[in-house]
Amino acid sequence: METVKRVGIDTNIFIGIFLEEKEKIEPSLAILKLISDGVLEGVVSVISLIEIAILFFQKNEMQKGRKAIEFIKALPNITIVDITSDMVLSIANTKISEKLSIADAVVLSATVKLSSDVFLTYDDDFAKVKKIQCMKPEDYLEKELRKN
Amino acid sequence: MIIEKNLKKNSGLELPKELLKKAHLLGKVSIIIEKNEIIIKKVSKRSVSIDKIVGLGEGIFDKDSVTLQKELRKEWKR
Repeated sequence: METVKRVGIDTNIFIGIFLEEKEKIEPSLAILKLISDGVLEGVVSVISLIEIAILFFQKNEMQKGRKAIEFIKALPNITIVDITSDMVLSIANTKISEKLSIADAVVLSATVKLSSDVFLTYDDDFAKVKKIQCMKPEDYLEKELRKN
Repeated sequence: MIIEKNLKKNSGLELPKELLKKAHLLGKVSIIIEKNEIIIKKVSKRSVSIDKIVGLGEGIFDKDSVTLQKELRKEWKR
């Protein structure tokens, strides 16, 4: 039996792809490709799906919002983590100890719950997190490349 | 096939090959350890076209991805 590395993915990684953001698109797509190929396993909080849907719905783009959510849900090797009552203390602890907003703590807790190796984000609010390594997709890819 | 094991501290959990074969678990797997259960999932090899979501939000949003995320998370304070 060979196990795969698990990576948490923040909402902004998906939004960057939807917006085709110049410097972010290539490394972000590379991560999704590694996940769909089974080299990595992805972890996404259900909050991220809600955030993505809201963004499109706010702009009256219901169909695109649905398409985005269906796509993420259908991605192979992605685990979508629901918020459950057994995560309450962990979220509260993460919010206080890491000095994060409640929303950031909830999203991060999904990644921590599944014992992921790293949380991938472009949001610098996570820069000082100690509980788990938080980094940009390109930094993670470079780190893994150096290892091999 | 159901296997019950009484695990002691520092002991390992070795699963019989027969069980792994029966569950089609040979090859790459993902293991999730919960409080009272261990979930073993086989890594999927189903391919999807990721490119079809590239640019899905083009012309809809006028801010970058991190700003959009930060604005959404600020709404928790309302």
